[in-house]
Amino acid sequence: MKLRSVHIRNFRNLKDVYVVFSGIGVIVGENDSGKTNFLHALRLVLDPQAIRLRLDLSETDINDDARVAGELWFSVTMEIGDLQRHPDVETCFKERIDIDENETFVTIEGKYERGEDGVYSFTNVVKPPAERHNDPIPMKPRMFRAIPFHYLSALRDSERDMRATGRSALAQLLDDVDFSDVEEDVRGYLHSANVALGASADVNELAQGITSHMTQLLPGGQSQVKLTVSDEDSLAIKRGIRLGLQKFTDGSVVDISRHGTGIQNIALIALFRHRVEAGSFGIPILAIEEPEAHLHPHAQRNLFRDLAEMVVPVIVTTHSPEIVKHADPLRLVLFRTIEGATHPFQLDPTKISDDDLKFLAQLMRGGRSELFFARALIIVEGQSEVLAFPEFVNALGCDLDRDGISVVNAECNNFAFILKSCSSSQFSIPAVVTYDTDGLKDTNNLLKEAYRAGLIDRETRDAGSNNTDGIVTIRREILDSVGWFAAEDCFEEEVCKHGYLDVVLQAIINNDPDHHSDHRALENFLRDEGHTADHQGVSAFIKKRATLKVPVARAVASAVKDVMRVPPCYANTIRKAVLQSQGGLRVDQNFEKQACQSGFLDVLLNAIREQGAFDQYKAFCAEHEIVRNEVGVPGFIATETSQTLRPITKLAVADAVAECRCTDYADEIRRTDF
Amino acid sequence: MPLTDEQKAVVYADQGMFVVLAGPGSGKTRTIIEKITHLFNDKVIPEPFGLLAITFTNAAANEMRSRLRTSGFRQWDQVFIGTFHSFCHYLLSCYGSDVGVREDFDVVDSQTQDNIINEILRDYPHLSLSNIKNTIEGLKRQGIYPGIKDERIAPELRAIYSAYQTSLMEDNLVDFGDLIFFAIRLLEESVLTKRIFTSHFHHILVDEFQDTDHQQLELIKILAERATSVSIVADDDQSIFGWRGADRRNVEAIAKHLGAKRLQLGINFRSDQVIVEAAEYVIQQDADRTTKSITASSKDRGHLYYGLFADPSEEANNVGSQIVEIRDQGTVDDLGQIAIIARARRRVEPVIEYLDSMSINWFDRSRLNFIDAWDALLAIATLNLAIAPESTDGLFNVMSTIEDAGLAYQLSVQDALDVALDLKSNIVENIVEQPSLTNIDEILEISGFWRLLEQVSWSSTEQKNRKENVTMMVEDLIRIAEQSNFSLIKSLDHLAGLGAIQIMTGQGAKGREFDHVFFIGLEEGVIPDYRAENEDEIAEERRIFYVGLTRARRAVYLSSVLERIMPWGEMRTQQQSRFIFQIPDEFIEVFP
Repeated sequence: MKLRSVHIRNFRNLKDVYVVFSGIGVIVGENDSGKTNFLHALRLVLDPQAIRLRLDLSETDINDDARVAGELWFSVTMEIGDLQRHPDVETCFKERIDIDENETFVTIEGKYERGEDGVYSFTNVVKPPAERHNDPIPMKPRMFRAIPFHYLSALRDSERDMRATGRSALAQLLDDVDFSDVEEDVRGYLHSANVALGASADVNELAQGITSHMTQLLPGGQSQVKLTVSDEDSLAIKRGIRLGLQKFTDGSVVDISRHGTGIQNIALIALFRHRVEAGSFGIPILAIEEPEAHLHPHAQRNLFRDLAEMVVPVIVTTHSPEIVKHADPLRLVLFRTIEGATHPFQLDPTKISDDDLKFLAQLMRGGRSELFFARALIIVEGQSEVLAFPEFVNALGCDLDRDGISVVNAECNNFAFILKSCSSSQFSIPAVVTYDTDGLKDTNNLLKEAYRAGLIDRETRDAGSNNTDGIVTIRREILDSVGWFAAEDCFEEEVCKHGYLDVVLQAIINNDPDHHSDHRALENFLRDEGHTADHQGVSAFIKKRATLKVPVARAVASAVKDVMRVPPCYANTIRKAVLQSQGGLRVDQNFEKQACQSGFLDVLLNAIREQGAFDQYKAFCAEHEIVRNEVGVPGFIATETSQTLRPITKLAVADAVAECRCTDYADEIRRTDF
Repeated sequence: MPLTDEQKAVVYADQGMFVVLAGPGSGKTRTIIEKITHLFNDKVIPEPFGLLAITFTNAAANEMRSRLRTSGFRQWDQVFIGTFHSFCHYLLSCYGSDVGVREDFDVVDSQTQDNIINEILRDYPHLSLSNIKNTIEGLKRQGIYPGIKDERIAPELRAIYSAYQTSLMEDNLVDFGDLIFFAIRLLEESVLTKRIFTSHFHHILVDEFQDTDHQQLELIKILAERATSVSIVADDDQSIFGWRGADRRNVEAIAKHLGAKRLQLGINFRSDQVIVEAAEYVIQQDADRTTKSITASSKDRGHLYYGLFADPSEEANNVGSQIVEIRDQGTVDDLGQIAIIARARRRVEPVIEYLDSMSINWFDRSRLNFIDAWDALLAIATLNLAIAPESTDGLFNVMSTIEDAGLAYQLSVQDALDVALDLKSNIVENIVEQPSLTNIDEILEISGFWRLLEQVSWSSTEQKNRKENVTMMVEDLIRIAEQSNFSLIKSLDHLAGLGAIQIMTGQGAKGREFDHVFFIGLEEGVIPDYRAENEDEIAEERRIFYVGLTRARRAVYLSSVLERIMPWGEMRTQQQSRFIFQIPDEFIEVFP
């Protein structure tokens, strides 16, 4: 059996989410992207315990935009297929079976809707097959039983589920277990145990004691308190069953609750797998939130592989790079929030070639799976940038985690594929590239990558193929035109040029503090090559001594918070990524604050200076005891007294936005008034 | 009472094919109920697969459900209990499109059908409506349609027939014959439909198989293909529907087709000895029957009276005064235990006059316009509850009807009591006026009855039909009240036939039983009917007589008249029915 698709409309932040499944569904996405709501919606329709969940529903569970538009309902529609393999399930839906090639399926819809009487209610129906003229029929108890939905929440209580009480997982499984063959025996032993316990002098005394204090409170007749090991009826026997784990090293049986949460989780999931294989009536659907919880990476991998091999529909939501790493890319569903609404992204198998798919899988196994969690990517040339970028981002007042931006090391210039798949309509993750111009001198590799990523055509690529005079300029112009940012002419030169020369020199000295071999080598190099100890000379030296790259990058990274400068090409790269992850800057009361958080604090400060309002600003800060510019600047610009300043600073931001090649966003800012 | 060995054999015959020959009063229904209970309780039918039980009338289906409920049956969603027509309706409303019947079709009502045919017959003024109607019905029963096996139909008839079919299709209508025909085609042509339903019904049980026609036989053959077990219950001695295409030889045909093993239910638990023995003498005259022995289980001899009266009015006086006598003796709990059977409806009129003059209630089911289905029964129960909302019996009746119809299950509600309480609380909270004949509609609305009907209907067609049926019931109710100047409560009782002498035709008596049965008008030309010519037709008349006799538990009162006025006004001398002479003289007592 399989879950073919789920279509959710108007439920919370899931305005219109349509997901197609094939095999295990792996839903990834940031927090609040709607993963839990997605599973919650499925539970509302299928979970036998959902009566309580449905009672908790209210109008506020309907998507805000939908409510504003007067749509006072939400719906969850799912297709459950491959029923021809499961006559027992198929037969439960026999009145409304649909067929697609040789596969039979049913469409189940849960709808929460306001009735004519103004009262909301939730109804579950089996929808008529396509092209048929019959009415939906209400879901019946046996239909629910045919496709039992098992949900393990991220906050699952494994300990509870390992006991056979209430509606715990174990209790549900034991429902189907027939132990009548030994019931009499068990009862007999329990009775013996109870008798044996009763023979204890202490136990007896306790029972007598309680009895004597109760008798005066109980009306009529003689009562006797009994202390027992367990009741002797069959229900009590079932409830008393515990799952224990025996370790062969010492042979002792330990109740599972004594084990760590990780083991409990594994046991719980094993329980479900057995339930599936046991083959009693019905095919369960499993939904597991964060199966990785409390498991070390190796166990996560094993668990995931087991889940993926299950023959029943399984949906997991996960934050685990380990799981994403090992998932088939086609099974991944990425939830991303765009302007407050959740959008699912998944690969369309008809639109992706087998080669690309293989490469994507490799990429993910290689640890690049974080791509799928990102709202924007920054693709950089190498390790140095990877080390320094997070600090640059902080220096600009931005936040990688808040904005969901990943910095990806392109390494062997092999990033065309990342670029292509991320920016394709299947994921539409914006990617910003920064590269070193020194690479342009000898090869046409970057143009080749841009071509492979689908950013330029073949002719344009070939225009840069010959190493003739002035080819660097040609290549650079082409890369500019696709919106990439060039570092002049490598990371080291770029940082030295923008305030980190001393830091870099010190790093070279520090690299070999005892013998100063690197430092001496630098001096020799400068002298021999006729360089001075400026940005060009130093970076040329580091290029020769590649072992220095990482120590230098580390030193730069740790100095950023003191130097507080970001080379413009990197600043623009970061700003663009932030802007794209947020969908631009909205011109409203929070415009300046947003601009600061998007890396435009210095732009605003400069604008204040240019308007000759810097002293006023300082006075404003002093008056309000503000120390930090990211608080002071928005506050100052938004005050009454500087209302004339506001449109001007806005335009300055717009120019800077244009500078980082986001002309659409810039135009938007220019066009919109406060 | 424990099951007899022969009943047990039937109950536990759960693997393979069986034909059960069940004599009258042999505890057939009870045995069937036990069998169904066994199939589910002992998990012979694994969850979630099911049983198809086909009965011949809605009343029989209702009774089967009701008795299952009393026995504590719970697996309602695993059984389909209904008539051939309701089952075919169900199949077509699921997947009809596959054979060109839109799933939301309607079943044509008799009036519309007449209009359609009349419209066509404008071009054929020499043909009569009823003739064409019967002819088309007959053709459909043989599976003959325009373009299908129609080589031997005369061109004129073919033109009319195909115009009729086209007209039905244009209005998204089907008639009763179509239901069966298209359902068979659906099972033959739609691989999906056939697979789904033949794999669902592990067991198939068909009652009264002697009454099936050719098409119904075909349908069962298809459905039986994958079944683990099929039980065909039949009594060829009670085959009395030959006039509508029933073919008692179908019992033999299906037995042969399935390679079925024969079982017998021969002990009569209903009738006292003399009745069983007399009936056997009568039926043995039938050369063609499957031989089976029938013995009475009763220790009482019982009574078989015969009276020969001067004319229908003397007959009526004697029958009437005997009924008064029985009533006054107090030997029956309820007048509903007395039945009057007449082969011709006209012959009862004098008796009815007599009963009216004595203020004795009588009830004639055939006079009702509405179908005796759960919707009407539930409406009656709801109205009764509205009259006495605090009555436990009233609530119980509502609940029973809901359970019998399997509604609680359809509503995804655990318990029929919940549904019943719902209706009750609506009544208690919202009805201010005392229920009367003038506010019936309002009560059905306020109680939530209509809403319930909507909720449980599988399709808008079903919903519409059920509403119409209830509306017809309400019309009957008002008509009764006006005719007899009854109150609402009395009209309801009357409608349900409570405490009233039951009046019926020979065929209408089938499947029922009474302490006292009056079988009147036993003259040549009445029974056997003057139209019965050949041996087969005479044999069917004999079986009607046999069915009438075997309805009685304690006493049968047979009567004939010497002369009567014919419909055209002439007084004619009458001959006693030949069937009387087939009962040995020593069994007969003089009409008291």
